[in-house]
Amino acid sequence: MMNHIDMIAETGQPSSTTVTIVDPLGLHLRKGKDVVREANKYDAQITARNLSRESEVVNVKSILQLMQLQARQGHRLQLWASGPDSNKALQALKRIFETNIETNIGTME
Amino acid sequence: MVIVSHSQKLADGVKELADQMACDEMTIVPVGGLIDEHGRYHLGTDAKRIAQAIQDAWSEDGVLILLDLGSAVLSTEVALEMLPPEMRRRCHMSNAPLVEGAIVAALEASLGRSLEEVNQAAESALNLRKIDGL
Repeated sequence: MMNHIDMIAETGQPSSTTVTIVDPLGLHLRKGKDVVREANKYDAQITARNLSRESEVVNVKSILQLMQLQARQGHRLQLWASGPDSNKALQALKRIFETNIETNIGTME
Repeated sequence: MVIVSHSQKLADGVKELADQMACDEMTIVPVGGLIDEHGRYHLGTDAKRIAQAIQDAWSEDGVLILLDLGSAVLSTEVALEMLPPEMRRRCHMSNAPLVEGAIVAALEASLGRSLEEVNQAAESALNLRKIDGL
């Protein structure tokens, strides 16, 4: 069955999804790093907006811009991606945003 | 990457942050303060110690040098003059703000970007507003 992200992609519009920040510390620097590293694996242009703050739209591949979302626990972000791998990108990013386990605390990738 | 500050503690702290963003292949060397002839530490910047830090951080890909302010620039200029020209050519003094610049540079370098691209991303932090969105 086609999910929401796939349906949007088929219309030719940028794919989009929303995520909720679950981490009690909000979207902090280390999590931001994981998000930016993942986003940079895809060709798609990936942008985000903090719906809870009605922020500007930022480039998710930039750590500085991502941090400007100032996303606290419970805030909802809208993500957009355009490009051939946009669906994959959004699914991977959604997983990272909504996981509260840091992948590499105290270690280097 | 070399972190030049008037304070060794500040340089160490910036490195601590940047290390969180970096990959294993990246060496980040913090250097700060002056040691006088009696071995006492003072706030300031020391060209010789900066030159040593650049050598310690050396990579064929080049070395990005981030600075706190003021005479850190002068001391780094002198430090670069102490290095062999072929080394100096691959060093780049960044105009980026120290904390944001170090974080961005470490992360961008870990994505495999060139020295120029890394510096460009770091310097884009100059236009960053922390509060009130963009």
